[in-house]
Amino acid sequence: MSDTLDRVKEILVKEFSINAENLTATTTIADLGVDSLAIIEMFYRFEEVFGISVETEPGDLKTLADVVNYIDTLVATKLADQAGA
Amino acid sequence: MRRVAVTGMGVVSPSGVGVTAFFDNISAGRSAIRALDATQYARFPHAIAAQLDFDGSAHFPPIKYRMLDRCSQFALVAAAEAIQDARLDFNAVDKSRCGVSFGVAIGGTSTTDEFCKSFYGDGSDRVAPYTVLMAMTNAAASWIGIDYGLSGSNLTYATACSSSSVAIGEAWKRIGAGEADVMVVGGAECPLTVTMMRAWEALRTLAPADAQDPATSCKPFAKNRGGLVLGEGAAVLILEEWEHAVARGATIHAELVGYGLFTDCSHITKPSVEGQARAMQAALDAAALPADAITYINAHGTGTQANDVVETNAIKSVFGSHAAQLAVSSTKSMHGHLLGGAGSLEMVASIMAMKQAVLPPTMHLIEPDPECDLDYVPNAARSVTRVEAVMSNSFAFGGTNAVLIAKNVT
Repeated sequence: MSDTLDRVKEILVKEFSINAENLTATTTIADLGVDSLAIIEMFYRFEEVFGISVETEPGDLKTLADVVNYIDTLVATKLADQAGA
Repeated sequence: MRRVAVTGMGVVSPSGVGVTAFFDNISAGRSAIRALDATQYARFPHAIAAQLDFDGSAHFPPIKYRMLDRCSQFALVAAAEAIQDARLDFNAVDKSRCGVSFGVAIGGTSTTDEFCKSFYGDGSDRVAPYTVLMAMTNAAASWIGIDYGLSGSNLTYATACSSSSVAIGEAWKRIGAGEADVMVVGGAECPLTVTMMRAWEALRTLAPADAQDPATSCKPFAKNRGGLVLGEGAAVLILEEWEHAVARGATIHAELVGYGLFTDCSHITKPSVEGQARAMQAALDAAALPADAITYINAHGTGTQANDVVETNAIKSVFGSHAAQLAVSSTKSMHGHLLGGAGSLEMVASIMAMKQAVLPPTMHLIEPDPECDLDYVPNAARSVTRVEAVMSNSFAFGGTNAVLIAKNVT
């Protein structure tokens, strides 16, 4: 969880010019202060970085913790699929 | 018609970033054409171009950089220089009377190229969300308008190699007619993807690499010319209604006095003497100047077999006996052909030639083509006492011939 959160935060800071201060698990996506277009791009980057495919609408995830949980679940599913295959 | 002043200029070119560096380099006869990286252009051996060393990420915050194709990056950096040069504070003027007029022939080729490579080449179904916004031809102009809040007209012209001359001329008319007071004008292009280069090569228009020195591959008006060499970059000028410029104490670089447009309706690529000549004559008529008022012409001068002879004959037919007195040069021999950006970059070169009374040369003109017998300022710049008026020629595939004239204001 914390490792994923750190990587998410790093992307937000480095690639989306978001201030690192006050960026915690409880920060909401709305609090990031970026428009809907940037959020689509953000999830596109998460897909790239974590090797996942985001099926949900980004709007269904409220906080960074929700995002991190969602990413972790997809990554875990992917690993389980690979192990099973 | 209201008078139009040029109060700012900005350049991002293979021959230098910044107007001063650009004009110093072309006046010194330095060619920016070079052999391209053999790995990146592996499927295009001996590829040459006038390529820029430019790191866009140094100019924009990451969130914005992600949204900008290289073409728009060039445009925004050139626009920033031009606006700063004009010492123009848009918050101090009526921004609804300010607009953008831009020329882009192809647009965000690196974005389109990347997308197609991923989709077809790698078989990936993932598509970057910003693809459309980065690739669209009007992206550069739109970003300039957004960044400075210019809510007047925002128009992008696509007339191939004359795009930015058309953009400048149309903005000149708009200010003249009272529809705008300030126009940010220019053009940009970044056609150096391997696919785009191959497409141009397939048309048999690109010059082969010179065996001794790739930098000398573009040889306009020479007997051994082999074609054009592509370049990338942007140039931006600030056009301002004369009294508007005077009232705020702006430095006026030149007065834009004429714009001529004439379309060949004959062939998609083949130029015509009549079409080019009529565009030049139309510009002279618009400027109300006699032909002998022109001191210097920045030629379209691509270095193709067809263009250079046709342009020479067109100049002779318009200027008559004065043709022999004219200095005509092709700076494309150094900065390459910027397609949509060409007209604006060469307009900056022309205005700088007038301001500094230095005529930039046509380089690599060792053995002239007997059919090209004008004074092309061969191989070295020339200092003169005064340049009274300059003409910049831009001709295009599709046949839209555009010619601009600027006058010395000192």
